[in-house]
Amino acid sequence: MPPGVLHSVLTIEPSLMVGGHFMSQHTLRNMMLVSLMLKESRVMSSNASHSDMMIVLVVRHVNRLMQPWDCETCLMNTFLPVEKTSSDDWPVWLRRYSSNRGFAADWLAALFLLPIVATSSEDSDDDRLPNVNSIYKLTVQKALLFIDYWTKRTGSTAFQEAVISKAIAMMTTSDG
Amino acid sequence: MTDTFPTEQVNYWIASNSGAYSTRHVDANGFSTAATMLTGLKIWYVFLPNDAHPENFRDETINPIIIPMGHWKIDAIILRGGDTM
Repeated sequence: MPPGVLHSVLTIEPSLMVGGHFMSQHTLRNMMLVSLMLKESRVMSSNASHSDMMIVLVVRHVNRLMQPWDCETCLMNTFLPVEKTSSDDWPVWLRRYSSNRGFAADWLAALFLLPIVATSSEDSDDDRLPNVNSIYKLTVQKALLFIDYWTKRTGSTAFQEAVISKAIAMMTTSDG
Repeated sequence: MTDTFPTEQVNYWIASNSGAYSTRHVDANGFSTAATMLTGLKIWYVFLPNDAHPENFRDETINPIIIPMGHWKIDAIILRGGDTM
């Protein structure tokens, strides 16, 4: 789909979709990239447009990029305040985060960043960075909970096969 | 810093339960988008401005909920597992 196309998407049956964004420019810095991604996620969040949905972004070379931000805050800011419904069957952590923020869990869209710590020396030598590896691992653990929930609810193993196996493989091949 | 746009870094997965939706929006920052359904069923709506009203497409104040139907041509694309948009 080319840039600038107005669109909306409705899920009829539980779905897993792999997607990608592309640009024609080839000189963007990584800093800009992550900034753009977060901006977009907030655009999506600000109009409460995505409900009952999880978006997993696998990001590389992010330890330098996350420098200005509190990673956990950054993650939590992406939760959507949307219509409240039953949340009894949601993972505990999701209920906790949602209740703390007055959000409804069952119609909550969660954005998980599963960043892969860069191995380049220019990134990893910056001691001003938070302990990003532990944050990332925590995020992965949260994602695993959600995926387990999603799998039980849908009966599909596509999520684990397509997402987590690759994400963990990438983690284990990085310095994280 | 990289001199090559790292396309692999903007790959993502979206897992959705039935009824999940996104209201009408334009992907930010001039991104093109490709999406492949691995499993499930979605309807992807594409809104195209009529020739007589191209200004609507550029109007950033347009109400995100209320669609001026007469000004748009709407295509609905059904995506099943294995389909790529």
